[in-house]
Amino acid sequence: MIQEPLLDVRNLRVRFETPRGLLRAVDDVSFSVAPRETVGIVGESGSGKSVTMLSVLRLFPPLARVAVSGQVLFEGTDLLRLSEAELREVRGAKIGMVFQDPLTSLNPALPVGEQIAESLRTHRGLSRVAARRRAEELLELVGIPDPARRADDLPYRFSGGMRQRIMIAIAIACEPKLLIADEPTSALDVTVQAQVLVLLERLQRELGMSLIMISHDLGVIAATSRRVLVMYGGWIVERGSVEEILERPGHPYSAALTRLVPDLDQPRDEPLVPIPGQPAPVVGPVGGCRFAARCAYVMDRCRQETPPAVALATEHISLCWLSADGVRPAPAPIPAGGRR
Amino acid sequence: MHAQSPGRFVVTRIRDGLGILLLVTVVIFLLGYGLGDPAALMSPVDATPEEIENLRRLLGLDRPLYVQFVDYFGHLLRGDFGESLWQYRPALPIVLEALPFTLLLTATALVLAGLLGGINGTLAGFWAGSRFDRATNFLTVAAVSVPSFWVGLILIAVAAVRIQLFPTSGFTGWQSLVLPAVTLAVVHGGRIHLLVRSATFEEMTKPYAMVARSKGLPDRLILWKHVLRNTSVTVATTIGWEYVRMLGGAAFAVEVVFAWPGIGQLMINAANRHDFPVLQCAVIIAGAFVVATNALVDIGYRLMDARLRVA
Amino acid sequence: MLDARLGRNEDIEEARALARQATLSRAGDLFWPAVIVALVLLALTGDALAPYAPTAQDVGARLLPPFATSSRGFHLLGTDPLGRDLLSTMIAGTRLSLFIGVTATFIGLVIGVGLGMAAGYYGGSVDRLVMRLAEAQTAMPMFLVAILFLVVLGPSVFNVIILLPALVWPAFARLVRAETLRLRETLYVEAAVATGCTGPQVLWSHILPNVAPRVAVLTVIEVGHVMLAEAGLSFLGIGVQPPDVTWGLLIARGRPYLAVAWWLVTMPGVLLGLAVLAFNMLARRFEVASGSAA
Repeated sequence: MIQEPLLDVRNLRVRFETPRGLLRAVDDVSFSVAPRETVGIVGESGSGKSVTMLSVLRLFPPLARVAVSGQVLFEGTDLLRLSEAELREVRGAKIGMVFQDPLTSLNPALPVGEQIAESLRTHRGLSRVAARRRAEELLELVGIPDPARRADDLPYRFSGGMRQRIMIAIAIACEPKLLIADEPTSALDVTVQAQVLVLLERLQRELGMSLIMISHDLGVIAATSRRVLVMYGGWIVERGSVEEILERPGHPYSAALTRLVPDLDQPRDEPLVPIPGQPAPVVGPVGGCRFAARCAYVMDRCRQETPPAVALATEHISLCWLSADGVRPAPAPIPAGGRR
Repeated sequence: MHAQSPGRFVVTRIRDGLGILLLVTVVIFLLGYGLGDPAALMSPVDATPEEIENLRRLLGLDRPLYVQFVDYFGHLLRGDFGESLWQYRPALPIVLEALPFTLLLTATALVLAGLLGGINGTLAGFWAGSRFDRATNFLTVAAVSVPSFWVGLILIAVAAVRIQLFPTSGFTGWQSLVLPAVTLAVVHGGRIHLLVRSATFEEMTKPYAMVARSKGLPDRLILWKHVLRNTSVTVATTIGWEYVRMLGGAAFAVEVVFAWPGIGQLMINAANRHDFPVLQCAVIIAGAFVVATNALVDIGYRLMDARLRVA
Repeated sequence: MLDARLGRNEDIEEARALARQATLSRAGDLFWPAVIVALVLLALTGDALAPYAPTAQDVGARLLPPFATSSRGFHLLGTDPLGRDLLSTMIAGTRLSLFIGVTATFIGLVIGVGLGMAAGYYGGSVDRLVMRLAEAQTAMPMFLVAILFLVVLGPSVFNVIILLPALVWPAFARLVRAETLRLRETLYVEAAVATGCTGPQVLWSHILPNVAPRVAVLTVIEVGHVMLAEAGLSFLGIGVQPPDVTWGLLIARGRPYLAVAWWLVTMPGVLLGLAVLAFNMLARRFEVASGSAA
């Protein structure tokens, strides 16, 4: 267990300057990923889960006014201290990334084989011919039939699921040590989702990669990961093993997420309960718990003071006043009006 | 948006272009013969009312308007635009002599503007927010905010009068081309820059650009292989439409500034001398060029875009 | 054919393109509106602020360079061949330049918004007619037709003001048509129709308020364009005629003296450029603030 982590994120903070004020996208986030391990990050859109992982590779949208602090240690090197040129040696080569929407993630005007081969030529210095051959192998590896012919096709000739497989082939082309999959299945049909998850797991095993799985769907995380980070409003509000969080969630937000998972091991009687309200971006000065506005268990204290990190079990930590009081949110539907 | 096949599109676009040209001639006719009084316009300033009345009968201007139009349009189709009241020879050759000068000037200016705006705009959009972007940013907005003829006058004051580098008036060789072409290139290059930067920036915000960066590709590869492949049609079309814009106005004012012997200069001279046949001939010929260029750009855009999207 | 052009409203694209250059310092936020306010004040109270009467001649003070002093006093921007103070003439020109820019744009706005709403709301043959007209108008070499128009009718302030709206109305019509099409589908417009509101009522009280912000941005852009067009026509001698005076006319007036008195051409052009720049920058601010650009 005492093993040098592959990725060690310490006190990561990401701030965006927006027209409406300072957006606290990621606040004091720390976690580590061991070699060959899968870690899940779950949360709604806007929770900071994607930004956290994009910050690791410093991939921000153009013109973003962004401030990043903390440390991102990858194999002992702080990626945040690297120059843009040094970081390019890491992107795609040591850390691969799969994005959410396979329809827009591929360049519409470039044959898919070329989109895979260019990474190999850049990072591995392969010749045009060798890169092309390897690209075909990779297409085969991710389950594209007839890869020699289809490598010349433009992305629009492929279905959504196929495109996501191609996206995965791009991400693993240089056999990275870490694969970050940002909502890799969210844009896909349910049946295809399962196939893509199986593919990711298989590739992780075969290539010996670590995997960070990002999803808004705790079900997807549960199917792939052992350790889970639950994010809300830029905070990691709860962390622990999948079993702990599914069975004995400490944070009301995690508890609410578990009720959104349709089919766990045993069928449940209660219906799926959506979380009321919308996640609000954390802009400007804020105090108290960021989930307070939507929390069924909200107390006065929650609105005033930042909740403490409470250890509920080994490696199970919840950032909540409820947990400090030793109370667990109900696994059953929350009583109307919550608790005072 | 792409309901028609490219072939049909070409046909309808040409048909519409001809329709617009017909509309232009109708508008010109109505302006000249409906609103205005060609006989008065064509008469010398000191003509007596009887002389004007005689001329009116001579020109058949006492007939109903639609009869006159049929007559007028029939003459146009035969290339008969009337006689210049100033040079006493047919208007068409006069205009056709000026046309190459206008085309030479605008084509040169467009190449300059396209290079200037296309390259800088792409780089500025690619490195949005960079020092280069910020530096070109203000210059560009300033360039599109000043009239082109004024830029020309300033260039004359600086480059020609002070340091006597280039000729400032008329056409005496290729050196004469430099200042008017640069003038047009500054203003139109500025607009191309603005639009190309915007298109490139938009491309950079698309997920595939983020993916390309996540692969660790060097910037020049992302720019050449990924971004330009998707913006090239937009850039080409932007430059084409800018040519339409140039032909539709700015070029003529700049011609006047530099006494460039093109159509703009001809038109303004004809306007000042009340040489109505030459003026209307110039407007129709220049108008035909604008309409044709417009149609060509539209068709080119459609064909290039179709090839890109549905290879 | 319509479709090829519907996606292309260059003026709106230009507004967006301007907006995307959202990198200028915050100081610009107040500077450019201040320039416009200053110009408007100058236009309204110009005569009081001008150091000299704009038409006051002084043969003893001909073609004085900027910062020169004549027997009458100090001339910040110099004097013209008749000894008139350039700054004072430019202030006098501000009024008409702005007036033509704003009035012509406003007429174009009224026509464009009216036709655009009708096209978007009623659709069908109304839509086809309006959009064809707008398209023909854009495809037509308007500048050439403008020359002819002004030659035939005679150049005057009035004729310039009735001509220039023809250049700007299609941009308004296209923008408003697109917005109307979008809004017509919204629930509250359907509700208004269901409760018996007539077409004009719906357009006036439900659609118009919603298109207003984007029309405002376009208006600001177009005022700049119209001022440039007026300057061009006046420079060519087919626009505003003396004794009226606009910035474009001042540039034309200074042109023969370019070699000996650079300030006569430079200064009015700088002021015109500054005014148009201010309108462009203001439009850009609006677009950025309304969040329609990254």
